[in-house]
Amino acid sequence: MVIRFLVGRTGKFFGRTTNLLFFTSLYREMYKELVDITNNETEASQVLKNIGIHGAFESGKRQIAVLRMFPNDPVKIMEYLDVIWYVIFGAKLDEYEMIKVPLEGTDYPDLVFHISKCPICGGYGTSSLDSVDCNKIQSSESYYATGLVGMLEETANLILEIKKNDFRIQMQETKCFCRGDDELELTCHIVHKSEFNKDIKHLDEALQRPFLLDTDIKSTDDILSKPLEAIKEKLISLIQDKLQMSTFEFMEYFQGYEEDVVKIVGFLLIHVFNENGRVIEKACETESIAKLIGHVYNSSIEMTKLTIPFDVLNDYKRLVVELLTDIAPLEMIDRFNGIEPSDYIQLFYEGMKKALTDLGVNFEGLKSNIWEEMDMKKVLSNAPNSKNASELTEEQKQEQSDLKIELIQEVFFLLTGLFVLPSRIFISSLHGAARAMFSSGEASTSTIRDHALKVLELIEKLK
Amino acid sequence: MQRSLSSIIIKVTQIMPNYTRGELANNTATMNQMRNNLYHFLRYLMSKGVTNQQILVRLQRMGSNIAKTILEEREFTGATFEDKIVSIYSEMFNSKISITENSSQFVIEDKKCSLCKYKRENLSVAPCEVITSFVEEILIRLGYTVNKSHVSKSIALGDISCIHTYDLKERDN
Repeated sequence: MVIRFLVGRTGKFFGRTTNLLFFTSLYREMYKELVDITNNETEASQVLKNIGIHGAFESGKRQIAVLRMFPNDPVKIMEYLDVIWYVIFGAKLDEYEMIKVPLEGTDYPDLVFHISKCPICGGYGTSSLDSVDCNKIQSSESYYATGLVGMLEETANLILEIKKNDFRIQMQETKCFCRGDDELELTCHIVHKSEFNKDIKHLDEALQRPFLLDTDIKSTDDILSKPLEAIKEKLISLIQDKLQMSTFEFMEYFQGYEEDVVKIVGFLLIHVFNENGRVIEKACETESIAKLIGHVYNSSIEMTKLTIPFDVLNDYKRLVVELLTDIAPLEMIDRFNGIEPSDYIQLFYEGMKKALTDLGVNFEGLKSNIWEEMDMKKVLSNAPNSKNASELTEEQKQEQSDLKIELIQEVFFLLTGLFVLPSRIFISSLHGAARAMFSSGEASTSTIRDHALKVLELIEKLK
Repeated sequence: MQRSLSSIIIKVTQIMPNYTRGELANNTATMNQMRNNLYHFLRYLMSKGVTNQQILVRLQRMGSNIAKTILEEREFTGATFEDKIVSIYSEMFNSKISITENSSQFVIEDKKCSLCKYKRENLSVAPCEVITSFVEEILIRLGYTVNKSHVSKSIALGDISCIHTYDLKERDN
């Protein structure tokens, strides 16, 4: 839900809107010209799909920050088809159903989408200008919506490329309104990239810019240690410079969705820190670490409830309201004021949980407590965790156990630092004495980054 | 249970037809992907040896045909010529334009052309030739006599804004 909201809200002001009929008519005219040039509807379909692929790749390169928020699994990515659709069209996808068709001997099922309405085909055939004959297109190719298929397929594959996933999606339009079918049907085969029958585009690493902010995350400490007014000025400047709109115009896009905004903040916090070397994502590639992160998250929620008094929670809420004063419309500020203080924390953590889930933490599979989960005896024992484990000496096995203990400790420090960061922001903004304590570096972003790098270093040593 | 419900929803919606062009005409879409697609379409034409003049003719044909389709679904109104032009650019492309009149020539400047956001390398024909022929077709249908329309400057070709020029034979209002 969080990513659907975020893409929906941000898509509106990052995208350039135009009339939908102009959009679909332009598509039709391109298709007609391609048929005219190739003199072959099947070839024209292939060319238009390729054009859609190139167009989506180019567009995706500019939206890497948004695409990076998607999960790292082909099936889960396609479960967000409506979001990808929105990224392409800026318009909502009507009712649809996704069906998984298991295949023997494959890692993933085929996915079949039954989509009730297709804007590309909308009204096609009612004008003498609708001259592309989809019945002349071979059944191995996509039909009238072939360009749309190219855009959807490439956007999904770009996400997989960003996530460094080895699988790719081959999508085909298998039913088309323009052929007389009663729905748009898309069929997806998920294959290993070595079997993918198209050129795989690779992203230049230099294009993978920091998330949202061009400001280096190292300078975040400067921002967080300043008074509230300075943070407010930075936020106003960011919106005006990057989005060319006033803060009121920007905040109006979120009016009526105030609770979702709080979730988004938690969601973005995790993703912002993941940006720095994909720290959290890489850590979650190790199942035991992913589970550990899940348990630390659950413990943090309990700790927050126990350790942060109501008055302090109320201060957090006042801080949000104060931050938004003179930035957001009065109606929005009233609604933010109406949210209970304890609900702020709950919503914030919900957003963080969603981000952690997308990055690889399976909360539903967790046991009741961390010690049972980790089976500490087994973790600390001489259990092998590498191909050459059987060749390790006793000294080497002991060293590995020590590394594991150190890793667990570092993960605790990292996650605790992340989860108390909001407290640092709020408290240091309000209380000068507390600010001095936090600026000693105990909970600063650079310390969090140091712990994150240490986690990665230990994981590498254990491999 | 959830699967049954969604199957029912799908069955119900399958009885309902697809979008009509009237519905499409009253909705919006994000142009980013289609803008890129148009550029790659032009690159394809160039790779097939289509000359710049031929590309121009094709883009003009496309714009004219799009206008004919749009006009089947909606009207463009305005008390004056300028009002009508502003209405077309605003409603179709979400553009805020400036208009300069020079005798019977109208020069439209669009600093945020929906088809030309970025400078494109190796491109000699402006993508927004589609827009000028689109607008020209509408003006003709509205009763104006248009001698010529063309793109004098384009962001896609490296200029700072898109300049669309419309030469009218005579003003009807």
